[in-house]
Amino acid sequence: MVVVNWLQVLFNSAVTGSLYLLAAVGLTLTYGLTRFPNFAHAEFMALGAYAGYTIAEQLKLGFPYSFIAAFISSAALGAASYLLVFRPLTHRGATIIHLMVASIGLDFFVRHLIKQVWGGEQLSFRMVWPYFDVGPVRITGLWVALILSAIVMVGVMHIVLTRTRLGKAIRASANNPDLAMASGVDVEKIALVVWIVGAALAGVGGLFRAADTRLVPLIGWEILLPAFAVVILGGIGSFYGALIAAYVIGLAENFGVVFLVMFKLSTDYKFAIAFLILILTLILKPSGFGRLFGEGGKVV
Amino acid sequence: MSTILKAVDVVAGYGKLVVVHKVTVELKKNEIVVIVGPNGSGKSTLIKSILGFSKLFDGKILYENQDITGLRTDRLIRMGIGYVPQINNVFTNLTVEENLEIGAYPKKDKNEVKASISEVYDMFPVLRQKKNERAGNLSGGERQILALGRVMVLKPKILLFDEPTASLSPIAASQVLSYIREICDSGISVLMAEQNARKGLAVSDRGYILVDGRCVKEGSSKEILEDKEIGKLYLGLKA
Repeated sequence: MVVVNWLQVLFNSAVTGSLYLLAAVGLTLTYGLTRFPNFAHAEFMALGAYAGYTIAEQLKLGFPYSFIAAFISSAALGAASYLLVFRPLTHRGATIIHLMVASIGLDFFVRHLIKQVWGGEQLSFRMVWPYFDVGPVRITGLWVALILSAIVMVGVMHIVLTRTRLGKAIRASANNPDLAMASGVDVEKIALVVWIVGAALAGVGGLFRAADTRLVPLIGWEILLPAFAVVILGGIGSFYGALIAAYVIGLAENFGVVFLVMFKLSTDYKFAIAFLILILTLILKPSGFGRLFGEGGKVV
Repeated sequence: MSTILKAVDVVAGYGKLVVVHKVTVELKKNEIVVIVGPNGSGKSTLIKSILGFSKLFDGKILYENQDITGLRTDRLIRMGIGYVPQINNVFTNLTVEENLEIGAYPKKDKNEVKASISEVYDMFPVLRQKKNERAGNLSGGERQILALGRVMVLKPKILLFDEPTASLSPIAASQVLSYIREICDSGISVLMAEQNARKGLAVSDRGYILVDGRCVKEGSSKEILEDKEIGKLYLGLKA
C-alpha cells in the first residue's frame, strides 16, 4: 500500500502552480493584447533557462545573477519578436492564423539557434540548494525562491494593473484597442511593454524549471502545454483567472500523480492532466475563470 | 468663421471596397456640422477616414491648415481632435473614473488629470455618482454620457461623433444631442454622422447629405430641413 505525504503533495502543488503562473502570465497578457496564441513563448522560457545556466554554471556567478540574466535575455527576445516579427505582420493585415503560424516558425528558429549555441544534450544545474523540513514537508531553497518570485510578481502586476497609468492603459488597450488609440494611447508601445514583461517572466519560469529538473532545448515546450491550459482555464486574457488556474492545475497534476501511482499507472500520464483540463474547459466552460472576476478582473 | 477641419475629395472604404467617393466636408470654428443620409451611405466611413479607422484611398485631411493625412490616430488625438465612436465607445472593463483617466492619457501631470476629471464630473454629475461603477454595467444613455466625458477630459478643439444617438431611447438621444449643443457652445467645433436626420439637423448649423457615398446636398441645416423634396427623397422625412 502506498503511504502518501499529503502535505508534501500540497506543497509541491504550490511549487508547480507558481512555475505555471510565471510561464502563463505573459502568454495570457500578450494574447489579450495581440489576440493570438504565441507558440514562441516556449522559447522565451528556454532562452531564460539557458542564459541562467551560462551565468550560474559556466561563469559561476550565482543564482541571483542567473535570475537577472534569464529576465533580461528573455525580455530582449520578447521585444525582438514583437518588433521584428509580429508588429510588421500585423501592419500587413496578418490574421490570427498567420500570426500563430509565424509564432511556430519563430519557435523553431529560436530553438535551433539555442541548439547551435548550447548544444542539444541534456544539461544540469550543479548548484546545491539548502533544504529544511517543516513537519512532514521537505522544502528546498529553490522552491521557496520560486514561490516568492510568483508572489512578488502577482503583487507587482496587481499594483501596476490597477493603480498605475501604464496598467490602466494595458487594460484599456486589451479591452478596446481602437478606443484606446482614440484616447491618445500609443497601443503599440503598450503592447511592446507587455511582450517584454511577459517574456521576462517566462524566462524566469524556464530558469526555475531547469534548476529544479534539467535543461534540454525542448524545456519550453514541456511547460507550454500546461501554460496554455492555465490560460484557457483562467479565461483568455485574464490575469486573475490565470492566477487561480495555475494553482488549480498545479494541484490537479500533483494529486493526479498520486492517483496514477495508486492505480499502478505510469506517472508519464501526468502531462495528460493539463491537456485534459484544457479540453474539458473548452467543452464545458470556454470562458474559464475569467468571468468570476467580471470584466474588471480581466485584462481583456 | 475660419475653417478648422477640412476633408478634401475623400475616397475611403475598407479593404478594397470604396464606400465614400470624392466627398469634401468642411468644419468651421464653433459650429456643429452633421452628415446625414440613409444606412450604408458612408457617413461613418467618412468620419472614420479622418482618424484612420477606415482606409483613405485618396484625398486630403487638413486640420488648422496643416495636412494631417495618414497621421496615427493617437497623434491626432494629442493634436486636439476628439472622437466618440458609435459602438464600443467606453472601456467596459474599467470603472467610470478609470475611463476618464484613460481619456486624459496624454496628460502626464496627475493634478492636471484630477482637475480635468473634476470638471467633467461638474459637466455630467451622473458620472460622479457612478465613478466607481464598471462602465460595462451602465445603461446605454449613461455610456454615451461617459463617452462624451472621456473625450471632454482632454479639452479637444474639435469633436467627431459617429452616430451619437444610435440605439438610444428618444429621451436619452435628445439629452445627448443637447449635451453636444452645450459642448459646441463652450467653443468646441463638432462634426457628426447622425442617422436621425431630423434631430441631427435640428441641433446643427450646417449639414451634408450623403447617398451611396456621394454628397448630394450641402447647406445650412435650416435650409435642408425646409427642403421638402430633399427630405422626402433622401432622409425619410415626412412633409
